Order: sequence, then C-alpha cells, then structure tokens
Amino acid sequence: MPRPDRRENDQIRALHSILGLLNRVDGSAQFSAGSTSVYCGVYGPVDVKVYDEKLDRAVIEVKFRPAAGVSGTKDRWVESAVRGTFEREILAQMHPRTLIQINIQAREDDGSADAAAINATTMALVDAGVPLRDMVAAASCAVLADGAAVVDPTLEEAAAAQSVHTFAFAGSDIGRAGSGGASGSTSPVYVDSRGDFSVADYDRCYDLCLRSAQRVLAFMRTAIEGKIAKESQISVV
Amino acid sequence: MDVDMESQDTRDIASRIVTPGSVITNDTAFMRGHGTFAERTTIYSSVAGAVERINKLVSVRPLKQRYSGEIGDIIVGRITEVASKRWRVDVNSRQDGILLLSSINLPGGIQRRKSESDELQMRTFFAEGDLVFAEVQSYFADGALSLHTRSLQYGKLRNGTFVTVFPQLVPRSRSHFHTLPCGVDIVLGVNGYIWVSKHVPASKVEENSELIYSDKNEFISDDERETIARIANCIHLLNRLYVKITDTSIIFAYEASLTHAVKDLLTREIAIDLAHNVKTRLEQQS
Repeated sequence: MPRPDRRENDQIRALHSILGLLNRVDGSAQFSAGSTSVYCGVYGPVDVKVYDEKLDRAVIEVKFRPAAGVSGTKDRWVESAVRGTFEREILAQMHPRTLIQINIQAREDDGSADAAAINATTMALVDAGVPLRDMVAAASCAVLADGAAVVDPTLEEAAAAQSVHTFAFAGSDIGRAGSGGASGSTSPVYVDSRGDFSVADYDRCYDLCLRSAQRVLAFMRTAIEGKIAKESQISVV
Repeated sequence: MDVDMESQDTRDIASRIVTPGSVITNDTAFMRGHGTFAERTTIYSSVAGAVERINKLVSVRPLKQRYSGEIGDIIVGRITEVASKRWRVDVNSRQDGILLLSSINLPGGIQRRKSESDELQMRTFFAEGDLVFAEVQSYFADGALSLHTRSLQYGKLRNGTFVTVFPQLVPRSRSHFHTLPCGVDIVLGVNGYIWVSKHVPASKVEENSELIYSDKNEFISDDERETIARIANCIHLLNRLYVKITDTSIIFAYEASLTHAVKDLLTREIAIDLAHNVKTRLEQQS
C-alpha cells in the first residue's frame, strides 16, 4: 500500500536545519523533517542553584514545550528521554557545579517529534560548544496494520499503526555499523517502543531506524561542517 | 564516519574540521588539549570546530563557547545582586563573577579604611543593573572569578551604550580601553561585553573622586550620540560577520561607514560590504 505522501517505506522526509538562529542563547538549532519542526535552545554551562548543584559534574535540565496548549505527561516523557540520552553523551564532568539547560519548543508536530527533538538537541549542543562524547541521531519507525514497516511516520500513520518505535544511536556506533559490522553489534542509546509487536517487527524497525539515523547523522555533520567552514573563512584571524 | 588517520601524514591533523565524536588521531605521540577527550589510545573531538596542533598538543577550537576567564583579563560586567560584602556580577561566563567590597576603590582616597557604614551603603557604589569595568584578580575555590576595580580607569560605566559580541572575537591585548579619534571611548571586555561612550578626559575623574560612582550622565550632544550609535553599529556588523574586534578594526569600520547613514549600517548588503572593506584593510596592514 503506498504511503499517503508517496514516500518509499524506508524513505525519510526532507530534512532541513538552521544553526544558531536564536541570539539570546548559547547555542540553538531548528530541525525539521517534512512538516515536523522543532526548535532547541541551549544555555550552558551556567550558574546553578545551590540546591541542584552537583559537585563532580554539570546538571542537565531539559524543558519540552508542545506546539500548542499546555505541556502534559507526554511532554515530560520526551524531556526524560532527551535527558537520559544526553546525560550519557555530554561530558558533564568537565563542567562541575554548573547547569546545562536544554529548552525544546515544538513548532509543528506531524509525527516523530521525539526523534526530531533529539536531533535538534544534538545540533544545538554542538552549536553551543558543549563538550560531547559523540553526536546522537534519532529516527522512528511504525509498523502498520498490514505489517509493513515505514520510517519517519507522519502523525496520521503513527495514529493508525500497530506499533511505533523510536531509536537513537551514537555517531561512532552508526559509523561502525556503516563500515560493515553486524547490525546487532551497535547498541542504541535510546529506545522507545509503543503498541503490540513481535521480536521480528522490532528487529525490522531497528535496522530501518539505524539506516535512517545514518542519513540524519550525515546530514547534521554536513550542516555543521558547512557552517564552520563558512565562518572560519570569513573571519580575520 | 571514522577517518583512518594512520594512513595520513600527521601534518594533516591540523586545520581539519571535526564534529563531536570524530577520531582526531590514533597516534599515542600526541597529547590531548581543549575540546578533546581520550579513550584508550585514541583522541576524539568533543566539540565541533577546527583542529589545532602546537607541537604534540592537539586541541579543537570550537565555533563559539562561553567566555572562561583568566587572571588579568579586562572585562565589562553587569551587577546582578548586592550580597554581604560583595556584588555578584554577570560576566557572560559559566558562573557569576564576584566583586568584593574590599576590591573596590572607595571614594575619598585609596588609603581610607573600610567601615561598617560602607557595608550598609554598598548600593551607593554599585546597584543592580550597573555596568562595571573591572579586571580579573583571582579565582575562588569553586572557579568563580574574583574581580577588582582598584584603579582609577576601572569602575562604573556611564555616558554610553552597551554592545554584546562573541567573546572569542575580542583578543586579549595590552590595552582594552581606547579613545578613538572620533571622540568616543570604547572598553573592549574580553568577555564579549563592550561599552561605547562619550569621551571624558581622565583628569576630570581624578580631580573629583565622587564622580567614580556617579549615576548621572553628562550632557551628550546629538552629534556625540550619533557617533556613539555609529560605532555601536560598526561593532554589531563586525560581530555579525565574524571579524576580530580591535580598536583598529573598529576605526576602519567607522571610516568606511561614514558614507552611509547610521540606521542603514546593519542592512545586509552594506554590512557585508563594510566588513569586506575592513578585512582587506586589515590584511594590507599585516
């Protein structure tokens, strides 16, 4: 069955990003996949309240706001997902007794917003110059009623799906998988699966998401390197 | 996207653009510097930027990062809080800086002893929102910067306008206070905070030490206001196009800008044109 927007099953929507578009924050990014679009702004490392302070590393705080309405439990879930993912990847011990605040604002949610939030956060953290162990790329995948697995589902597809899965991978793991390693050898840094699914469904989605994440990562690298190249060329050193 | 560096000449390490998690080198001969981390024998990049190598030290210079202070830095800060015997100062860094009551010049002579009444009237020296021109004296145990204003050239800033730029565009140099030929004083804080103000001769402040903590602006004529605005816009455009901000580059930008109205300076075409103009003149000079 063809998809409503005529994409192939393993085809992600067109990606678009802008780095450093907000001027009051330390780093910011907009990440869009099709009509799903997310802003992320990062403050950090900044002063932290004594109550929250950790003596050996930076505190990481994540705020997620939906495109419309007040934020609810679903948004808390995205916050905890982003925090869990990036607590592992940010070199927090390099900035003890400070705070790294990640603010995410959904601009439009047309499915796969959690993956877009993770991708936008990676780009904003890179823009802010926060030391990272690795870049993180996320992708989601839905198993439809007819058993077909489709990547980057729209809201419509996700609502009708049997199960929806979101995976995030670290850049070095993606690189290893890309260079011919067995797909089972890479471990995702974040997994979220909802609905009824079999192990075979899960494995199928895993492979599809890994390949999509590869494309997303390559896109993000190109965008960042392009920006650096442009700015180091124009500056007088 | 791992790059096999062993096959490449080690000279290629420098001037490469990397993203977090990229392998910089597997060679154990190198030491890791800022912007990198090591796992086993491999050095990875932790930020996105250009790789720099000094002898055996490999570091990555990020696109932009928060200001991190060093002792002796000349900075501009904004008072955020009056606390007991100290002021908290926003210095555009990861933590607020601290200005101790004992690190300022009290009015009425340098030799005067501090008294309890000074503690009670700290707001008459610096209140919340005031801008200070200060020097980094030392670090506290938690890494916060301790500032001092124990020189007549430091102190409260008035008679002008405030500009924020990327901290890495302001190089550390011998002097951070400049009087431009157009009759404007600028204070280039290495933390990326810049103060552009009307020129006031230093002798005037020396004569009257009460003036150090004055909150009142002097009379500023319309022409002076326009010149201050022009310099502020020149700094904005240099910042926007990533040109190093020094007294020379500001003077070049100012001279080039005289053919345009102040309000037009930040339109895209004019800004790019002026920045290129400044760039070529800087290159000619060096």
